[in-house]
Amino acid sequence: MIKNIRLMVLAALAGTLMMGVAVRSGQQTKEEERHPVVIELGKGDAAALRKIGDPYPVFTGLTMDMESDEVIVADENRASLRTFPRQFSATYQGVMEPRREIKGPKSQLTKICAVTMSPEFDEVYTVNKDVGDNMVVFPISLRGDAAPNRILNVDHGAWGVFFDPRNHELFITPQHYNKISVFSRLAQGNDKELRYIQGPKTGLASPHGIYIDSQQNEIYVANHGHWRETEPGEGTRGRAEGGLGSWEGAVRPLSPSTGKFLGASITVHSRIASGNTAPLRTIQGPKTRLNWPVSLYVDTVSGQLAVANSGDDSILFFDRKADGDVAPARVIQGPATEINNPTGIFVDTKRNEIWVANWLGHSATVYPRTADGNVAPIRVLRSAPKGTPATGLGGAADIVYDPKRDQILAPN
Amino acid sequence: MLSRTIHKMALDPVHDELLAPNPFADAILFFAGGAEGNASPVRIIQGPKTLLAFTDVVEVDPVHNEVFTTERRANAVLVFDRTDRGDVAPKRIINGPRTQLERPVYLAVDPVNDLLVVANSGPNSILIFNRTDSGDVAPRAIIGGSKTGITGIRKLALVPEARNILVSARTGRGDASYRFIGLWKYGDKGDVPPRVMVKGLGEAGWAIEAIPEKKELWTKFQDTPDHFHAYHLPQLFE
Repeated sequence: MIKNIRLMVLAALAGTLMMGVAVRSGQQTKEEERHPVVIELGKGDAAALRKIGDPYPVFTGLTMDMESDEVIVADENRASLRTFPRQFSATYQGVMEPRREIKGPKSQLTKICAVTMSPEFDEVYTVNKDVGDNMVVFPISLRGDAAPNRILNVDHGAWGVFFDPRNHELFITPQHYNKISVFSRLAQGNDKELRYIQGPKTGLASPHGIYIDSQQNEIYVANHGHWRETEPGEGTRGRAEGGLGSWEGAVRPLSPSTGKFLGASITVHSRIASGNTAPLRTIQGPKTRLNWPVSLYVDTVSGQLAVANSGDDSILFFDRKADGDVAPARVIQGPATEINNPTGIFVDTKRNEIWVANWLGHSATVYPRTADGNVAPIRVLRSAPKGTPATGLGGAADIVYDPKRDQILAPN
Repeated sequence: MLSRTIHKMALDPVHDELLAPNPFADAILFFAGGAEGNASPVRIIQGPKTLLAFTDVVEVDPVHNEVFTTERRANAVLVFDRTDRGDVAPKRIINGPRTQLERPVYLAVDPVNDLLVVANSGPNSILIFNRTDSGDVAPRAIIGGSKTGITGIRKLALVPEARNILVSARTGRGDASYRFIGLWKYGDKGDVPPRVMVKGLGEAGWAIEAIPEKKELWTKFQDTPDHFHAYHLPQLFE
């Protein structure tokens, strides 16, 4: 599963350049009064020996404006929302520049993940994962560095967000608390949830992508399957109100551990469920081939649920009413597909297409809605020249040196 | 079985294993060194007896065959045998009011000098324990206070040969000019400034790694895009 968390072996450390270091003087006197030697990185000759980074956009989530025929893609790496035309030449293999881009410090975009939109209200919504702990809202037509219309504080670790156009509600999945939070569309600041689903009965286990079927009044959630017991109401939303103040939760005495590996799953809940309630259905088990499912979307024409299965570079399709340990009805997978760590998916029933965001592929790939097997995409929207490797860095929080292999390791 | 929010993993060069915590499943995973792709762990510590709870930090002492974690919710350090697997109780626990542990976010073990160093995020201090300490025990030294300049302690790296402690002291989402990597010596204690301050380049210090044999410091920048830089800084290894 190492690939799945994007644990990246980042660099062989050969070829070291010997560089000097800029040093400002330091004179040591009494311990408490000593003046430290100051090294200013990036100044004088204290330049970096080597740098590892990805200069290109890295796509996480995507959504589509059916009215304007545009695709909005979340670029986690450069913290931007990029808007592209849905249709472009099938033979074009170059890097595509966006029609518009929202990016910059005023936008407050950081490590964004899923993205959703409402053409009716001219709004696009995205969540800032575990860096911003908020959801930001922009006009669809915005470009450049501009402040969001609204900012809503959410629990730490939110990955998924979905707008229910019929009921005008926003659904958010904070991974760290095994929770689905439901807000009114206009919620902002520290506005309270309308309701939430959370607790041991829910089956939520590291939830990520979320889809609302407002016709059937159902919620679909992609779960990685890492579970620990959470209490209804647990989270960090109280921070701005003088609450817990940290994502790790309240101080509590050592007690028996509750963690388990449940296995990846798709849980289906009632749209109006609240509190510690069991899912209506659960797709889970070895036949399902679920492996780090990240996002999902219902094809309302075929009645199938499409799942971006990042753990094995596939798109899985299940009957929307599937329950238990069931095999997918079809699978898009194989070298011809160019699927590489898929994290975003959208089914365009109007034009009969499926869009996939490839986190490690610098691309969004497009397939016929009924595609099956090892099929080539009909179009590829590239953010980097074809074949450009991705560093896989996505909020890496540690560095470890492996002396045996002369490699740097980093977990995201 | 790997997850997001691995805030410290560890490499055991003696036994060629890679250790990673999974905070969402309360587990410590052991992989073969050099593992790649869809590899399964060679063993897992997980279960009610382990007391693991949202554990996102793991350290290994390959000399004495022990594994350490911080429990930031319970203000504790747990110690296991390196070869433990399944539902096992910690062999030692550092916990209690005398320890002064308060939101410990990171730790490092020096098996040469028999020290355990903890980044204590509550009061933004560095706690230094004996490697084999257990129970409600006071640290042998505390570095903390306004003169240290630490306003947001995050990461640690030890240089046992030079008896140095490197500390990433960031302020989270505040002014980048207050971020630095500080060097203290093992003998330092109390409210004392660092001996060396590494500053500059905005969000540096989100992660750090010291490589004594190369006299290199690696640091992670949290600015977008994510990037790592390596610097040759012999002053940090003297």
